[in-house]
Amino acid sequence: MTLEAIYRQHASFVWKTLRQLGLDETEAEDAMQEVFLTVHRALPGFEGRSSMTTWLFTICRSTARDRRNRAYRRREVSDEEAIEREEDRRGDASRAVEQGQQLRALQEILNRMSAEQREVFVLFELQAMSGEEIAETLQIPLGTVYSRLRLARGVFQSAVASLNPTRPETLP
Amino acid sequence: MTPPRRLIESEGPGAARELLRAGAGIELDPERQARLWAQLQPQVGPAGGEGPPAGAGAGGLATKVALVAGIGALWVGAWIGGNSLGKRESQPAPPVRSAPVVVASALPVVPEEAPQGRDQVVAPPVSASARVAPVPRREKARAEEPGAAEPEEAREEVAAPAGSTGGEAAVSPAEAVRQERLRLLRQEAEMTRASREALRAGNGAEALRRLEQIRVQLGGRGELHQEREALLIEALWRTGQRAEARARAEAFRRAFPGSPHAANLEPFTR
Repeated sequence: MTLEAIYRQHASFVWKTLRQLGLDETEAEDAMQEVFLTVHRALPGFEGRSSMTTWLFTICRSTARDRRNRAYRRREVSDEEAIEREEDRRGDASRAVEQGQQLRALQEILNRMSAEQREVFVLFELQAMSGEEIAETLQIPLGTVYSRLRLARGVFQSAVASLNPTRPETLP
Repeated sequence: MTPPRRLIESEGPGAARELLRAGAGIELDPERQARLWAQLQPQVGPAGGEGPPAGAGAGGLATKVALVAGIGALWVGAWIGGNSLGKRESQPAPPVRSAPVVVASALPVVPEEAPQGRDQVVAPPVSASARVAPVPRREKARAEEPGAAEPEEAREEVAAPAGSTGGEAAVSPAEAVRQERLRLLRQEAEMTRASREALRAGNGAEALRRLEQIRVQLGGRGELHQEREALLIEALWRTGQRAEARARAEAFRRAFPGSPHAANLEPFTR
């Protein structure tokens, strides 16, 4: 299978995954190139015993984490500034919802989760994968999948509730 | 273990579902898909055929050592070069060996065309219904700190997927990503060093040519943007393009006031 064929078939999946893992559009464009360059180099070792999307997801995951870590290091500032920034950020999701920017609001909420929680949440809630599929993809026990999902949902529920305190949402 | 129900399928008030639908509905538009492929294609060869591009070295300790040594040399060179600039400030610039090279005026430099010898870019792989748009110029500011150029060692290792083979080819995705980043960084460091050497040899035009080569090859990516921009400014100055050098030096100092290059570029803002 050539890189071109993989790109044609899976570019949309890679893009969606990178964006759901918290990269903004500019970062996701660069990350997408990194992902497919990695695929290009690693392709000879891929035999297809796992699905291509599973393989791609793990590459996306590493790339996204790498980029987020680098971005975090670049933005490291004093504690005081970090607190101010955090306070600003908490208002971002509400403002985004008011402006009808649901995707941006979701990104703000996802950014409050740990990387592990976000990955499970994205795979389960946004990519509709089963718990077993997630366990295989992330190479973690099924119980860990569900415990991370529970924690991620807690973050999500709390954030959604804070968007509109007068009308709390009941989530399953 | 009973699997939980997805939130997006739950009943009740819809704010949470709306957010989740927005996330689930992210799509890659065909124009962006085509543009990203056009940018990727020169780096992987015609039609993105199987196998790594020529010159793609293996990762591992040797790569890291060479990379760290290269970056170290680059920084030492930048520091020495920058300091010597201040001393040469009052001296006339060395004679230009060839005609000035015109470079893009915006900061940072970004790609717009294919590298030399790779003019024939194959059609981007998009769906039949997609219309392929021309590749637009993409400009974006990057606030990269010098530390960001160092390879990241502390990363979570991901087990190799079931689809990987054993032996050398069985590299985990995390390792593959790291190796690819190291390869690109090493390539960028080597090319940047060659440009610096040309400049130090008094050949500003050659330095500009090599910097342009990096710009085309790496596009908007790359870890050593500040170093390249500082070199570009000096090369422009040395080749007589002083207004351009001045404008870029001022822009650099505004964009990266904390950069170690900022003070060294001060002479070029006058």
